[in-house]
Amino acid sequence: MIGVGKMKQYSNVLDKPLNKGKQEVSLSAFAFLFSELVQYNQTQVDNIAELERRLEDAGYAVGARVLELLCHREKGNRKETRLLGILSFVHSTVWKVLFGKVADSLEKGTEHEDEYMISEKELLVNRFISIPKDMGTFNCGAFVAGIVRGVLDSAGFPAVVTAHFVPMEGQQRPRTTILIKFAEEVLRREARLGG
Amino acid sequence: MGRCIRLVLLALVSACLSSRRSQSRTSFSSDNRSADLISAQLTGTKLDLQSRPMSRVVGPRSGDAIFASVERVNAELFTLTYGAIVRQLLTDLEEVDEVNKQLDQMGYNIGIRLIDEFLAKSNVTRCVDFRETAEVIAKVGFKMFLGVTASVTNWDADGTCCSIVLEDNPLVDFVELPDTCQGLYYCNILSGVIRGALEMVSMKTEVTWLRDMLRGDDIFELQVKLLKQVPEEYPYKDDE
Amino acid sequence: MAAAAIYSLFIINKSGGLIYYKEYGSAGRMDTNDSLRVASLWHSMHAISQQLSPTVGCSGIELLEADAFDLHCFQSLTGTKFFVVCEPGTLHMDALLKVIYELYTDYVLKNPFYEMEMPIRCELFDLNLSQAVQKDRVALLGR
Repeated sequence: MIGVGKMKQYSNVLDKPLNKGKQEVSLSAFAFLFSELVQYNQTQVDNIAELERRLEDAGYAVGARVLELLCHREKGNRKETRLLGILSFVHSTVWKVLFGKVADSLEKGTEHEDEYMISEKELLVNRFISIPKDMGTFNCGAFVAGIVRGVLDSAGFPAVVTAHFVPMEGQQRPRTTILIKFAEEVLRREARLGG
Repeated sequence: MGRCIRLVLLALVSACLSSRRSQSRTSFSSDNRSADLISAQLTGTKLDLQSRPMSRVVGPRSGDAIFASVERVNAELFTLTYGAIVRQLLTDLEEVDEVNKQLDQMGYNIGIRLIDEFLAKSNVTRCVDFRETAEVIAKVGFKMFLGVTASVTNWDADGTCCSIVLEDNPLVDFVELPDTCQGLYYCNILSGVIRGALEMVSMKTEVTWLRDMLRGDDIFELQVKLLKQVPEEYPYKDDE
Repeated sequence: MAAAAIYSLFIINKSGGLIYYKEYGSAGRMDTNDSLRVASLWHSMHAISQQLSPTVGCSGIELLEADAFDLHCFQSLTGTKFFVVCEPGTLHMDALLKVIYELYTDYVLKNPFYEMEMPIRCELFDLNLSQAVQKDRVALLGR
């Protein structure tokens, strides 16, 4: 498969040192690319649930590679073993690298022990997107949910991750919550480690 | 409502008719418009048909200036998302040739939308010739979207075919093609973008890869060949 | 003096089809058929004006001044037309049209659920457009 994160150097090509992640493209370039990703996937599905799943899957691969890149670059190959550690890593480091800022908030679910929520007033990927009324609660942030799942899974914290619009009082536009529901084994391990 | 439309129609008709009469209303225009909206190149034709393209007032902007003024994101988000797209296509379509075609089509879909933002932000007027067009794509287009500068070389005698060359390509940072993907033009989305964008400004082109760094070449080189330049004139052929 | 008022905004695709119509004036909204007809008519008039013009390379009507209104029109090189009908003498309409063009390139063209050349139904476009028009109004009335 196509690999990202390996530093293969062609002998006759500029010897690029490991990119410190400072190169930029315009938000528009990303937005057009993302829009086309959504449009392509729309042609491949029959219903909204399938579209959500495909976007999540696309994001998963991104998440896995982001973890590779970041582990190598930022944390000197140190691995997170604790739940809060990995959540904080996603909420701050991953978000900063991908979206240019830390996420607006990280909260623990009140109803279930295995649920955590990362919320954003507006996800970067949704910046220019208006969901048609007939698509109900569909959120292109499913792609970001996939990224988070990819990071968590590759770090050893399997979870089900979904994106939801949450209407806010007094706000015209709903905010987006990435809901993370950790697998049983994660909670058990956490308990063992003295969580 | 009916009266409203009649008034509008009347005004429109009289405007068209009066265009040929010499009514000098330039004084009215200077009272009502601030100086910077009045082009130095007022032709002195009738107010209603002033050729006063807004772009000529402000002037075209450089790629660097535009890139500095727009919101930007980490190129890695872009690179990784593109990688995800190519991966999806390889899974869905399996055949490398099909993936190449789909990437080009996706690029085309992007190009037909991206062109308006390019025009809006760059303030380019109608390009005089294809040479100018190619320069503007390389120097302004690539810069304002991808943050990289390309250059134009290898012009043919007619001035209808050239190469756009780039070293830096944010689509491919740290991408490596496995052996199973021989024949894949990983960056084929770019050829579609250029083709789509130009088609929306009445230029039909053929865009192909001459050199590809992922295939072992030392540079990325796209050949852009102008096939036809046909601005649509009224009455349009497909008017019902 | 200059109490500036925008009466309406139209956006026409390159085939002359109306893709956006917003009524700001107190006269009330034109019904669908009428608005489609007016857009189509303007599209033809605009094209004819290019041919009528004695200037070479004329890009069509940019300003129409009548007794009861001004009409400012901007056509992109891709053929999409944006025009506002406003009170006579209203300032900065050209700049507003440019802003609207940019909003179109952001909130319409980057929307994966928008189909090219079709009517615009993008919530973010409406929201940002209202803000732009409101800002314009405030700036002008504040004088």
